Amino acid sequence: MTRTLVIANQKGGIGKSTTAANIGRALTEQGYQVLLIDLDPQGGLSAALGVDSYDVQFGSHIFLLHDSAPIYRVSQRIGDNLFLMPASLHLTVAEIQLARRTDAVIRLRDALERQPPPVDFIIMDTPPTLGILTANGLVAADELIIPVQCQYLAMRGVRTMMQAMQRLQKNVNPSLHLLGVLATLYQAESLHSQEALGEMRSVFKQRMFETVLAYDDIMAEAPVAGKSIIDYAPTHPAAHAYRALATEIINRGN
Amino acid sequence: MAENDFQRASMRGLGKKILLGDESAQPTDSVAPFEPTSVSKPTPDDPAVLKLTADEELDLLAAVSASISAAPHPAAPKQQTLPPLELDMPPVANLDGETLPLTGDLQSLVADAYETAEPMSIDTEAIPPLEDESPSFIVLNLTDVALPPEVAALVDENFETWNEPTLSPPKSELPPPPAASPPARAERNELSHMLPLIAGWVVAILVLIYQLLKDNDKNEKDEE
Repeated sequence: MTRTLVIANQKGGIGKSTTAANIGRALTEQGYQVLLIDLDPQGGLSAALGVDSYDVQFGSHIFLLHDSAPIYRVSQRIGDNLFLMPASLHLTVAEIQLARRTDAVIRLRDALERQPPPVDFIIMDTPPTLGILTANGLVAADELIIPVQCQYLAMRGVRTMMQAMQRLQKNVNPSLHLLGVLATLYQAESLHSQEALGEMRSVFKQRMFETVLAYDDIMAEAPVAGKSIIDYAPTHPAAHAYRALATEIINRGN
Repeated sequence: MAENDFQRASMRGLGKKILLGDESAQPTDSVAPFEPTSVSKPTPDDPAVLKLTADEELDLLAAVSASISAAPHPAAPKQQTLPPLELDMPPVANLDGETLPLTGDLQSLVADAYETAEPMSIDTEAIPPLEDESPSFIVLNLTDVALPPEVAALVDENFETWNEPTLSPPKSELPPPPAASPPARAERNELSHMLPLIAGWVVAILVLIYQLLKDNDKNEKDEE
């Protein structure tokens, strides 16, 4: 059975796209088939895997808008067992067009139900807003991962994200639940970062992933090469961290 | 090195307030410094931990809530059904004619999914073709925007008052009355533009009369 995950937080620059790309890649290492869906018009996930959103003609915007768009025409093979439905700049226009529709937030869920992709995991990356595109991801998913930077201001948005999830649970998507809160951009030498991580763990307890993603330049470098960290630097601690995170995700689904 | 001139703000003990909005949460300065390596293992699930208070509804979610409330129920009847998709599609190609990097296995799997899928629903509302819209040139037609009545009334009111001075300037700052009324000044300007033309005609007529008289004199002399 396909597990559908969404990575969302309305705070930008906290590692959503990097996390989506590398979780997906790490899962394929363990033999799973993964479809990544980029719902961010900025195309961070697509760029992290070497697909320039400026050149994308068939992508998630088509899938959202056109009922008859075949899923395989808007997806690309990125690697062994790894597929990507890239984002295009047209996604901005798509969001405006979706806003006119009464079924704006359930378009993606309906499309995936009509054409369930033959994969083990669907992982969706969302824009840093609580708009229609993010709502589509939250409605289409069963499991939510909230990446949170280990910093005071970044943590303040988590409450809004939790409330959005609860509203969607109540109104549209009862199956949506929090798979875990993921601490990102952790700086071991920073007392503030240590405190932030400690506070998140004291509040979310077992809902926090044990894996903590430390800040490292490798996270900025790998997308320049158009590769996941696991492909760019397979032995780097960050690559191992994403492998550990993928294992946690697998185990939490059992 | 100079000492810090501020007292460090600690987050310790404020996690619930920051993350969940629990106003009862207080800083706990007395706890031991946090050691990342000694993080306690997860404790049994406590559903109450994530329970939010009712008065923490945030306006930031208004847009999402509106979309959600407007969305039809998942079990809503489908408006229109399409005939089954044609499965024997030609090789997938993008607009440049290149075959997309998908294996035949995946295409066949998706095609199977198509075959087993329920008839699709489609909205009767036509979707504008994407080719006609460039994301870089999104033009918002303001005449299409319907303002709420109270906002529209406010705008109208402001438009009406824009042409009327809301405050009279002090008498000492009043400008002197114009020497001539605007219409009179306009007539005068028009005449001043026509003067060279009139003068030209007068000169031309005088020259013509002079020429005729001169010719007449010459003719008389010739006859004599």
